[in-house]
Amino acid sequence: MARALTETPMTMTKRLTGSRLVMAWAIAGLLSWSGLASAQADAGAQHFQKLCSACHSIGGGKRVGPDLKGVTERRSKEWLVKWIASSSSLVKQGDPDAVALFEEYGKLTMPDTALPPAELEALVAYLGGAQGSAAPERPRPPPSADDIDRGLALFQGSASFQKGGPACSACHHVSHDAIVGGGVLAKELTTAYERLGPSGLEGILKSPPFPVMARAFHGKELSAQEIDALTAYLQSLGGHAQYAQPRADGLKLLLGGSLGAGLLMALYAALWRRRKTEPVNQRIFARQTLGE
Amino acid sequence: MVFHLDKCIGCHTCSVACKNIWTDRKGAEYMWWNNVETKPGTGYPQKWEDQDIYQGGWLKDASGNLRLRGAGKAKGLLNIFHNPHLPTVDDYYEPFTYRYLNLIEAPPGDDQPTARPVSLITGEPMDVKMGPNWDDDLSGTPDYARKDPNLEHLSPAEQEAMFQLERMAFFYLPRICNHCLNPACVASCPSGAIYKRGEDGIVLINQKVCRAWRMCVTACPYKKSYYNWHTGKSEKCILCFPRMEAGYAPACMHSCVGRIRYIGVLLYDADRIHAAASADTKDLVNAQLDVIVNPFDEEVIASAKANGVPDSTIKAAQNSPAYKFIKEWGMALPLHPEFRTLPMLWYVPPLLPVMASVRPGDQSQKAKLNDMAKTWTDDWLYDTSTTELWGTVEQARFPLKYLASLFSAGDTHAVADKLKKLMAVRIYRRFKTVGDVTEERMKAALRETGLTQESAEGIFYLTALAKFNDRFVIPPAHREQAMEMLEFTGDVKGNTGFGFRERPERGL
Repeated sequence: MARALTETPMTMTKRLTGSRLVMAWAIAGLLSWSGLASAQADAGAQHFQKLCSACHSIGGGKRVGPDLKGVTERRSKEWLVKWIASSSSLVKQGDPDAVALFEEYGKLTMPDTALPPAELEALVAYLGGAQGSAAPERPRPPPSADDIDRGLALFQGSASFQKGGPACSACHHVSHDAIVGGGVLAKELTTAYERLGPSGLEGILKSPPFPVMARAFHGKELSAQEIDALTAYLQSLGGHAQYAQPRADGLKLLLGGSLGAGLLMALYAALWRRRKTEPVNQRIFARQTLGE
Repeated sequence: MVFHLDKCIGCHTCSVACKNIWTDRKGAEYMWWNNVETKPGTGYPQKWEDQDIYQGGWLKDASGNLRLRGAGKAKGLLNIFHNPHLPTVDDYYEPFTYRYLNLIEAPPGDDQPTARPVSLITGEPMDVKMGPNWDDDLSGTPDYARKDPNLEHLSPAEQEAMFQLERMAFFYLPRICNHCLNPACVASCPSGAIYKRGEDGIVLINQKVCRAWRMCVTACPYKKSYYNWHTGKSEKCILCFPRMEAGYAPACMHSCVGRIRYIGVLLYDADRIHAAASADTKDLVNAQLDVIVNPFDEEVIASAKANGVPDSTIKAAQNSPAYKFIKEWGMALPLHPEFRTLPMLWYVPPLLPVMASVRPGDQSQKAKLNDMAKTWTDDWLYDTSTTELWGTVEQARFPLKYLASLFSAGDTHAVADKLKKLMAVRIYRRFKTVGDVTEERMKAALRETGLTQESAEGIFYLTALAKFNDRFVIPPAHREQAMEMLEFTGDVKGNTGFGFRERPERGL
């Protein structure tokens, strides 16, 4: 794979020999110069929509992270570029502003972005210019029992997502009797609704900002109904679920367990009835040795 | 590989060489990757040939498909946590040592101190019940020799005749892993840990992948895969591949005192293996012979080259002593072909003990004999040369049926053919050196067995005079090519020093 990739530019250079090569470079240069200014603002907006809008609003209030309206007045441009590129390393370096932000927003690490420096500048430039608007909250009907059931089914994978995305329980766990052994690869979601609120959840589910999750749902985006159902389910868990005790089955569990174990052992005994337990020469040994 | 049983003296040097190099470790004490059995006898582990007990090897079912007798997908899944047909440790033997220190350190007392045997597994004192060659040289014992599973095909009268005191005889059967063409151990492994190496056909167990299901122990009908209770992995003969890659013969072959062992390249057509393993029982040996191809055939050479077989390997195949014994002269047979694993260790069956007749000596006859001929002082002639001997192949001290049960799935003609060839070479050499056989008789003997004077001379040379380089024809291993199939060596080019295949525990 790696070799195949490095070979491609080589072959291209070989093909575009001599004067044609010079011309190609010249045309490319012209194109990039003319479109630079307007392209920068557009690119910034696109990046914001794709990478940031799940957790941040501009003028819409706090979601998972802070409202970014007027952020360029609060922070320097250089600091913003560094923070967006890798907030975790900035926190690790002990930058006081960075640590304060990290503490304030529940020690939730903002994912690193892999944008080249020029693109980062474009993004910061967009943040500086964007007016934003208080996005009207979508009116949300109270969660119905149907929604909650559907959300549970989607979460544990007994119903599949329309576009075939993986079930939540592959990576996440919640404290709920219906979910036995959800995944431990990602965050526990029992209190997700309290922490993130409906708009935060919606943002994350619509375009996941976490690299692994983004990759898992790439091209398998969730529909609005699915997002509503999952949000309803997570809301139904409520904060109290994290202190809930598992359902107590008492004697029923003990009896069922013993019966199952008994049945399995009977099955094994039947299967292994004819196994070889004695050495071939047992009779000779019994005759010739004194016995232990 | 070819083992010439006529030459085996049963000294166990091969076993000891192997043990000292490979299995002198905790958990491996009971393993004998190479062992030498006395036949008739029950062998090691006890009665390994009896597949009603151990369920090893392949079976051909009613529809003609091959399936494993005791393992396989469905059976393996049902028995995966408890393999029901495993030998117990007493079927091999419980390894032991003696408490020698007690002889020196015992406190003063009324009794003489003794060195009690203690188990190498538990460390507790134990009764020694068995050893790896417990029935060594004990041909007639009712407990061992007469329980040989191969006697099943003999009538009670024939069995009785075998064990009459004056006819009693035995021979040795050295056994290592056969490195089969259709290995049952490989097919049975649920972890996929066993594989047959493409470059030299050695069957190996990957110790990192092995999960100790022990299906290979059951599946191998020769019981040559062993479970190491200390490491929790199964192990088997590795045909000394580190030695082979360096151009040395395996230790058992190198150390063989009787020089009975030959190793060389055999080219075979892997596409025909399945058909050969599914052949009718009586055709199994010939089908396996057909799989082995002629290394002098232009077509074979061309297709071998097309498949990436190095020239040095093709050259070695042309000089292979194994090819000569097995294909060119047709003197060797595989051990228990009816297990359908297509074993690639072939045996030249034993003509020994020397067939002779004892009769009142004829003094006029005696005068004609060379000094080499043995005569009894009391005028009885111990005659190894008379014309009747030709006929005695059929009435050998070992009934042909017995040898056929070992080497040819019951086909007595195949065994008789090999024995007659051995006899014909003797008659030929007797004509050359002793001179008491007429030329016509010698020629008739060769003609009947399809040998020529040249081939008889070749057999004699390879049997009696062959040097290391004649017996062991091992081509360069070309490990570099095998390695480059699995990894791109350019990845480590330019690294400091030799690099590491595995991280060292300290450093780096």
